Amino acid sequence: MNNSLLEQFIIESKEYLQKIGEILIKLEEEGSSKELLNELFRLVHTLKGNSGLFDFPAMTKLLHASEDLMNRLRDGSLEYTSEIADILLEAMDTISQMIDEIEASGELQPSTNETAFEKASFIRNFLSEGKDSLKKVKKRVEKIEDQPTEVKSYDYLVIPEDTRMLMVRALFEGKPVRILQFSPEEECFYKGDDPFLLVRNTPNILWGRYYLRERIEDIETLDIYKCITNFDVVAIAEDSVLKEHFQYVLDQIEIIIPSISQLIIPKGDRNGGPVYEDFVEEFTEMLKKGDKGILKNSLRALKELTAPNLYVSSCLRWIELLIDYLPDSMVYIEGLLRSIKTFEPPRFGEVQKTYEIKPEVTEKSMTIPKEVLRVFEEQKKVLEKISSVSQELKEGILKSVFLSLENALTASKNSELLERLKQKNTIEDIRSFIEECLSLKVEEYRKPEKVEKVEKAKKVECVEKEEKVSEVAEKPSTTKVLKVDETKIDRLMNLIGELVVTKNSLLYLSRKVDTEYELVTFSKEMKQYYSVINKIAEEMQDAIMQVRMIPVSTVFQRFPRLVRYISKKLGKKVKLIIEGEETEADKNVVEALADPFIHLVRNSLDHGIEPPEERIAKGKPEIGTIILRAKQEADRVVIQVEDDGRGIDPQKVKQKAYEKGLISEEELEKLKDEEALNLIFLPGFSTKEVSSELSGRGVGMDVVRSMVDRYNGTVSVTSVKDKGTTITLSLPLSMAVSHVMLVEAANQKYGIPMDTIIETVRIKKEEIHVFKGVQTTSLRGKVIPILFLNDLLELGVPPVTTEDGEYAVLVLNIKNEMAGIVVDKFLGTADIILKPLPGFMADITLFSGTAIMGDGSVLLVINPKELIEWR
Amino acid sequence: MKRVLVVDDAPTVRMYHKKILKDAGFEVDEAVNGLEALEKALMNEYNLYVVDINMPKLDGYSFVKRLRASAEVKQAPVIMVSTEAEEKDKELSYEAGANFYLVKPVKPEDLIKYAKIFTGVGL
Repeated sequence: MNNSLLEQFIIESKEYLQKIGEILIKLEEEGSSKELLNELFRLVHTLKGNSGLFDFPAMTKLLHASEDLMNRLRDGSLEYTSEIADILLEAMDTISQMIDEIEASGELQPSTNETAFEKASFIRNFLSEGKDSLKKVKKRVEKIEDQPTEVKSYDYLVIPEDTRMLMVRALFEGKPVRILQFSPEEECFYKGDDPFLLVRNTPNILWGRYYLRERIEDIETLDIYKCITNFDVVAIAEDSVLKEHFQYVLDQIEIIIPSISQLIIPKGDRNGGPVYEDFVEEFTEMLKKGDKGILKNSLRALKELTAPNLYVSSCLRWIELLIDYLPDSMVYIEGLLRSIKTFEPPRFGEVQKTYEIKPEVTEKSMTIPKEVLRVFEEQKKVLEKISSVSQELKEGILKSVFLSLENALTASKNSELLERLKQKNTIEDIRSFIEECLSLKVEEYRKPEKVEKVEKAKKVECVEKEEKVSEVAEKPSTTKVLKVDETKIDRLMNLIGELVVTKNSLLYLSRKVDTEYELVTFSKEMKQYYSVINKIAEEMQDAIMQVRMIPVSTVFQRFPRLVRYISKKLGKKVKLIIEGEETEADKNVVEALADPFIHLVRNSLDHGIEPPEERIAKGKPEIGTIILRAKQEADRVVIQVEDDGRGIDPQKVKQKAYEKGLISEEELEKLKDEEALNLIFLPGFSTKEVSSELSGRGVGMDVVRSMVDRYNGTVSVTSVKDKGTTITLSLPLSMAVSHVMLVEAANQKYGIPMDTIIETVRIKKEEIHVFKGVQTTSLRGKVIPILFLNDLLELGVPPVTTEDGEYAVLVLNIKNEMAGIVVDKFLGTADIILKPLPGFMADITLFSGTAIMGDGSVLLVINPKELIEWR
Repeated sequence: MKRVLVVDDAPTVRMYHKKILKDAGFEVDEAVNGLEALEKALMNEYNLYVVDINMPKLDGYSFVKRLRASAEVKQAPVIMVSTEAEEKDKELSYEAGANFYLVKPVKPEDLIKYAKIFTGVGL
């Protein structure tokens, strides 16, 4: 779609629809206020106005109907009810869908058009007849369907002449002739359809053709399972017969009703052949007598003299056919005879009149084109108003009228009248001057009627031209938003990532300069420059990351509608509170959030929030509350769904998990309540019947979990019975650059993601105690397991202590559990770009990937979650 | 070259009108509401205004009234463009001091034709 105007329209429409949606919800929450209704009206009004610029009649009609409805709300003749809200919301949904379709393909699906028309007439009926309008609308829609399809332009020349002749004969004989265009949907083969067979079996088929809907660019990439063929069929059959035959694909066919004059198109070489002038004269004479036999004989004689590929020959063939249908066919024969003389395509019917009208130019300076006259008429009206206008405006208006008249006469080059106008200066003078001009003979630039058609064609061309020109010439000066292809930003992101990593080599070099060449000052200077470059690189990275940041509100916005819809369906009363929707995160993260989030909110609504009666019985407020909360914590975005519903019963969860074989009997007894809650995230935990019994927290929770895992996020749940549930998702703000802690084990460097590290501590050997067969230590009063990286990675080398006999321990937070990992050495932190392990190694989940370090070495980055499970 | 000020709060409409007029050889300036239009009108000289009615801040009627009351401004013609096809809106426009009224969506050839007539450019 290279139409910038349409693009602008789409952007703007989406914005408006968003606002309209918000206001509709607000209206329902806060009750109707004049301000909101006015704003609503204005938005829909503008949207309607915009849509009128394009050829989307269904959309304009629906918007117009909605606008009228809103107008009634605005002037108070209708009251804003939940029913009206539904109607408006539905209408706006349809508009949204239409905008999406236009954005995707530049046009509207017939089915959507139909829906829009239906909804428009529903609203109209609602306005005129009140509520029981539904049935009537249905009837009306059926009626519309029964009507023969409107005249659509069709290139009749693709139909061979002999077929067209058969069609014309059929039309003269009063038979129904139809051209049917069939565009099977692309996936039709998967539905077991055989479009070709369907077409071949068209009742009373006269002719057919098939052609490709789109050009095949590359035979290599051609998807042979996609149907891209269109069919045109000519059949002598009623619409109803055709519709029955094509009943399963009604939305994919278009029926055109051809007329005789459209079909008679002589075709052929326009040069050569005998002189026909005499023949035409002679034949015209004979026509008056009307003897078909003589006419035919005379035609045949000439036809034999004429090569069949000539234009004239084609005309003669048509005339021969038409003779059979005299006198009805007289106009067509006359048209063809003229065409033989002029070689211009024949015109039938009113053509004769246009020949008689010759542009008659009388007294050039005294004639005025009709548009100019209209301007004069309108100025007269302006002057009529002037008496009722306040004094301070009068002079200005008079001046503008004078200027308008002056320009209009300049434009139409009426110099004589222009001279006379210049002598007028009072209102009265100008008024009588206008009267005088209006009484002059009107010259309308009268041209033959056909002009209008030509102009229409021109208009289309004109609009197309406009678009092309403006694409080059126009820089939308008002747009403050720059639209950039996502891949470009990704590229920037990758480049800056490389830079961030490469800059680390400076640090490495400076160390080398210091240790190997002992140039301490130089090394220091290098370090200084390094820190400058580092700062700039970091800022740059931050800036580029900002470009990708979008507020989570883009996800949150959907929820008021969703909550309203679901709660209404469930008969529950729910208030939705949204907090921190301005929090920003990477586009991918925000988009990744959307689906799990919908899941969570649905769950809260469906199973968390109790029905009003139950809430009252429990002594809770009748209206339940769901809070969507977003906030930024360090380099993570934390999102919560909180409800004050019935909460999750850990006992039941445990029981269910045990029954499902997800936990052992031992675990069933051992598991703490908080741990039990996390069972809901296990795959296979949830089924429908479980969910209703257990207040359904399990529905798709594993889906949520895996989604969040994929983006390196975490999910946790807290719940108090009958008080409510909070589910917390934590995701990285962005995903391009990871912050890792570098550690050493067995002389090998490893990276561990910073976001899993709680702290680094040093622990004396003797502080490690074996407790129930597990090595543990107590850290500030908390017992944590201690694991050795060397063992976990099976490096075969015993762990090393520092000179003081202490172990370096990384305290990690893994799935909300703490664990200490003993490493040989801490080497500081680094920013890296994590690349997944390639090829066969991709299966090794123990490592989340690799990164190239500043000195060119490869760093393996450990996935701590797997590390613990590896054990 | 004749200068036209297109006043409309809807970017799509502004773009559309601008495109048509530019293509027809006009120099086009734009304003997003009556207030901005008035500011521009006071600072620049335009040969024609193409004005929407329904706008925030200052609507089309009020803009034209204030324009007509400004003695220092050359009183260039005003074409009102609105979605309302009712006679009432047209009369209100003329009372405010507009010189012509077109119904949205405007046909390109109409806008071009009347813009030419009102600015004295040969048809």
